[in-house]
Amino acid sequence: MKKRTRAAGILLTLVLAVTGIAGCGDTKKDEGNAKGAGEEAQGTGGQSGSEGGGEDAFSDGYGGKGRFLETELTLPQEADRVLAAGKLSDGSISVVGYNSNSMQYYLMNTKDLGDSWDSRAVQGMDVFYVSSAAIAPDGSAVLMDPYGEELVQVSPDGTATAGSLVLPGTEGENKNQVQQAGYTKDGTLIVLDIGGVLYRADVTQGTLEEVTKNMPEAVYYFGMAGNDIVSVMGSGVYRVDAGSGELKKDETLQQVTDSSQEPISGENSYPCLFTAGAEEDSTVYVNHEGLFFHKMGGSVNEQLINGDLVSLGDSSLGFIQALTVDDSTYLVLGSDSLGVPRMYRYMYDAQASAVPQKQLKVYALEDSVALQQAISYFQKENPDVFVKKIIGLTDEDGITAEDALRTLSTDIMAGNGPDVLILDGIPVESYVEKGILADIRDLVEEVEGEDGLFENIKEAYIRDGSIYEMPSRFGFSVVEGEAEAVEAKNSLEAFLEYAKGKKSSNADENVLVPMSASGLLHELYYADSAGWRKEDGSLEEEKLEAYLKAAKDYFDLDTYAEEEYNNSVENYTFRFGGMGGAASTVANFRLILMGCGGIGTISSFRDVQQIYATEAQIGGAYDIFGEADNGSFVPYVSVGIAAQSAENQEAREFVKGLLGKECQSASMDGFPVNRAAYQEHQKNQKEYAIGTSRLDGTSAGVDVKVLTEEQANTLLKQLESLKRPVLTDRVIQELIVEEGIKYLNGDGTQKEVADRIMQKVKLYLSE
Amino acid sequence: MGWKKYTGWLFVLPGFLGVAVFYLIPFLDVIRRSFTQAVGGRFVGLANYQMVFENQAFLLAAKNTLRFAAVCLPLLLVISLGIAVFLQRLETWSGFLKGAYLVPLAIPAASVVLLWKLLFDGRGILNGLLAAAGQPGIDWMNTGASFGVLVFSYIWKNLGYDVVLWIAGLSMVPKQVYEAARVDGAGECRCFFYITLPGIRPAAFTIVVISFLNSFKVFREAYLVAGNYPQDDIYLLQHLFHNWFRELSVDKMASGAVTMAAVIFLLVCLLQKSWDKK
Amino acid sequence: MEKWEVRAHMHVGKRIQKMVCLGVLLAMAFLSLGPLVFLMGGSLMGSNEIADCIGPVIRGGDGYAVWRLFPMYPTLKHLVEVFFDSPEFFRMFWNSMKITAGTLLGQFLVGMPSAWGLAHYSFPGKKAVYMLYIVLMMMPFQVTMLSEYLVLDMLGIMDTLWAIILPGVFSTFSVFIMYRFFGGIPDAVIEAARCDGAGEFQIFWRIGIPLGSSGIISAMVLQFLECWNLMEQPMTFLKTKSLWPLSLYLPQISMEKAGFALCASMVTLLPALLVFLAGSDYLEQGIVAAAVKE
Repeated sequence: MKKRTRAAGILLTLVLAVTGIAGCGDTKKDEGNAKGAGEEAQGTGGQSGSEGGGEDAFSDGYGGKGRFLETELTLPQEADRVLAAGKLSDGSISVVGYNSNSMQYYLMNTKDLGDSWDSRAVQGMDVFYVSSAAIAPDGSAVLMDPYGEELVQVSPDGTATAGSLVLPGTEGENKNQVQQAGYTKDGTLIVLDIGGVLYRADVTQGTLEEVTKNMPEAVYYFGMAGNDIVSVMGSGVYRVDAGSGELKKDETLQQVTDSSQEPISGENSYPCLFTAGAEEDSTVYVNHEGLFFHKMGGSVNEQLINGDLVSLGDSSLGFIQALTVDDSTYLVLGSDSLGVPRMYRYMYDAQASAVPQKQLKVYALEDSVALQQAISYFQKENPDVFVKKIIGLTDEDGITAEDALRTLSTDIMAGNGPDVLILDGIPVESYVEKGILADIRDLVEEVEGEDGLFENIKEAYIRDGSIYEMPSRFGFSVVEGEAEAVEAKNSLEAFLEYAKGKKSSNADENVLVPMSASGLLHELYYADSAGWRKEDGSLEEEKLEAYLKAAKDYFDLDTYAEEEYNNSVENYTFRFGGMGGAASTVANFRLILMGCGGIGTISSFRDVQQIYATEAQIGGAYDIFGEADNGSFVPYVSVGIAAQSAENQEAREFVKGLLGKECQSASMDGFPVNRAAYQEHQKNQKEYAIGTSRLDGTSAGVDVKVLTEEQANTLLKQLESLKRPVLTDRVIQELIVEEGIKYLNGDGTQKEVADRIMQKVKLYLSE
Repeated sequence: MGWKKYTGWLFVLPGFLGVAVFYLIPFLDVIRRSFTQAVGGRFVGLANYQMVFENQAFLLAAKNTLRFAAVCLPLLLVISLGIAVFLQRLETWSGFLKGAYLVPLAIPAASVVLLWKLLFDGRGILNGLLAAAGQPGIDWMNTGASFGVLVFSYIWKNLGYDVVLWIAGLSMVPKQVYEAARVDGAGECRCFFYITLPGIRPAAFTIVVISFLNSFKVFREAYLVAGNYPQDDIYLLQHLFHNWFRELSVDKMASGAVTMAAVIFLLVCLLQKSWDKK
Repeated sequence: MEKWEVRAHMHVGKRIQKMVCLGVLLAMAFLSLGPLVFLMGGSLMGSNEIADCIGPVIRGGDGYAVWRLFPMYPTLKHLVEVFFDSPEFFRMFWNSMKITAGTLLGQFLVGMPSAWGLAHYSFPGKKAVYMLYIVLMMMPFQVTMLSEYLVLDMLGIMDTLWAIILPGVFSTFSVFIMYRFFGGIPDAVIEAARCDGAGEFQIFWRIGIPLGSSGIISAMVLQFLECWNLMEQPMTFLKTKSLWPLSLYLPQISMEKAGFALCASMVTLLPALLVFLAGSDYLEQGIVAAAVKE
């Protein structure tokens, strides 16, 4: 008996060991295959990939020219999920999207290959769970639930008409299900059921007709290539004529995909996508290895795009639809591991070298629009450099900033560090002290010579004659509200004194606009923290304590009803990731009669325009928070170059681009440090109207105007007067906000929580 | 004959080479780094050590780490020995009990953490029980109680392991000796102090070393529950090393680590010496 | 007569004492098993029930978290979600399997002979090697992380599963455990075999392994638990997320999805528990053997 259990124990261990090792072997083999394929097909790559992959491409670099370059398209914001894409007969592209908040489906159309979109909500449809969708060449679409019972046909203008499908074998316990749908070039709907049978469908009649009785086995999934259905089965890939049902076998195509990979049920993404090629009788397919072209009867699958060099190689990308526009343009629709829609456009650039010769690693803790723009700008100018963007904090994997920074530390110490660093959230002090960052003063001054920079911002970053970090954008904190409030702008104490005084004279009135705990803590931090650091680098603890007390008083002063309060939360969650000025929201709250003033940041012309427009209607003013001539600014997307890449021309070019006029003009996040770009921002102000409703139900609205010359001058003077950056220490800010939220919400006694925050901050500072 | 005394090396060598590559060389590298600048590798002598010994956070963390070992080691050893002595005499329940005590060893850290969060939160289950009993709640993770939580979680996790180890040691003491002693009229206490304790001395070395080793592993739970800046009392050396590394203070980290290694080495040597002596 | 009474009294006292002790021991066993029961109950609860129970911890506000040992409305929803709707869960599960199996097999091949060599031969430097192993065993990972990274980078195995497996294979902890129990095999047995003309390797193979199998398994079980729960190493050495093991999956789930997290915990824990139960007899025996020496 004993012996047997012992044998079982050893057996268990061995089985585990063997399965594991076999598994390891498999991975290796797969890698080998992938590489083999890469070498076989003459790789023409793309660029601007995100993290992961890429390095291999450099080892076999050859000097040829011409490559597909990748552009990530910005899909309309409405869609947080996408279901299908299609090329219409007029040459435009349509995508079916869904917004899970409003539970609304959308048809989104672009006539310029994804640069601009026109999206229409699907009207007249009872919302149901759509598992499959397809777009017909005439621009209409079909959406259906898993059983085909609920189904709508959507005309190109967005009107839905109900239809239905009755799948064979639908009666009884195990209902048959629709697995996938697609349109032929002629506009016939093809449907695949869960049993792997293909049908021609007519949704108005509700009838189905099997495409062919001769299918060798069940189809896992398919792609449409003109009027052919490219079907993936266990034994390989076949093209099936949708009309005649004729099976076109092709040895080379047959081996395209690892047919053991079945799509994951419940997700509308596939291991491999198929579509028609630009030539007659050709197929284009996309997988993580790249984009391939196959001519029927041909013996090769030609790799047009090397997955390693573009986003396709990112194994977390799920593929939804590939579209061939012409032989030099392809589109791929997919979703990342969070289900966020991604759409890429690949265009052939004859001037780009076949394989990028150089690589530039750009690191940022968090991604930002400004960084994305800088990268695409740089790519346009330097197609021969592969920009590898490394983002430390991606939403999907639960990694903390701590973990990300430690990983960065390891990379830097091992000599694998990035060339360019976006320093937001990175311990810059320590990096400078250790000599990690290069002096970029000459570079900054070069840009200054060309376009002019806000000298005050630049001056703030000169230490011992050198500049190691330079913000590319900035904002600043103001007090916005009635005259009395603005007068009390000198300090948090003064401001709260005003607020309390006002409250005591009229206890029923709300004095301060509603702010969520985290919004308040962030805003007051931006307003007040510039003065916390002493000359020697240590922190003035009394000031931190005073800040905490002020935040608490601010938070407790007014009592807003739950629902009023909830409205504020989203508006005030102001994070470093996307500078949205809170001051204009303060003005907006005053407009709907909630509060008389508040503290918030201004980060764009839009904010200022909106504030002036509101003040024109209800009076009031805004001014920089803090004592006169001692205002502080909030830096955003600060950039630095790693010392080991100091001589790296690409890194210098990149930083120059980031600070340069063109790049800085593009994004509205924050005021640009570049004066020429600032002029652009000023020139590009738009006029528009905002309408909201007050709590009592009456409506309120403002007409936002372009700033008058006087207003613009005031703003410019204000911007030029900002001398000091706020305290950019992620650890302190996070500790304050994290614990501060509990403090404001009244968990534990105030003294306790305040002490706890101080204890943690002290601990951090003593390291 | 000459090579024969090296036969042992033949067995040890493959493993030793791996150990050298993956553990020894890195460790030697850490020692080297403790004498150089963080970046650039310039030799700075003992400056790093001086910096570390003057660092308030290091002193606090070292104190906490030692205090933790000093509190939880004896506690665990005594409790587990007590249970082992009792279990050894128990006929019916001992199998089940031993199995039950061992279960925490198998529970993944992440699950433990989830549980601890629910238990020890300000609004957690424990405070709920306290409230039901009419007692005021305790802020477990933010007061001195956090140290208790840490000790508890260490003992909870390692109790079964140590119990089994002790039972093993106890089984080595021949039954006849007890019987002879009883005949001579020795009581329970006398038996325990004059027979049991000396009898299990050989086993104790292993148990102490393993328990000591496991006391470092409690950091994982502490870090996942309370983050990188926990309450002062449970701020351990590993927290500090973590944070130093984040700030790229590799110099401080290396010299701190070497100091820690030296202390461990000393303690193990002392332990071994005191065992060898008798 | 009087003496008898005293003795009888003592017996009653002892029995009470014994009952009390047993009570305490059972209570402690409950503490040990509690989390398991908690996880099992939690993995069968629906999202609403869990939100009811632990809402105060997640959202703050009034009231306290409570827990029910048995769900009021048991459901397999989360279990289904874990098994069928989380492809990454399975990918990570297999990664864990590979790491664990690779490490165990390696230790079987490398660690075991090391332990044998240390336990049954005296050779120059043995004492030093032994001390070195103990000290290296005690080093927290954070200390050598950077240097280990550099070594792995030099070997070109960064960002592959080998970066986790190989250091695991050479872990000195299991050598320490196996050393202890190999030491329990009496020298006389080995001498006898040597007299019969057995070679050194034969002795190891024919005597060492069979006599110590329970100890080997116990070391393996411990190592299994260790590998299964690795967190710092994969996080540092694996950049490609698709290589991450299961132990890194759980911390990714936010508290808001506690039900799912509990269920995933449960599934994560199962293999460890199974191995553990299958091996617990040997674990005990092995530990027994380990403690015997010296």
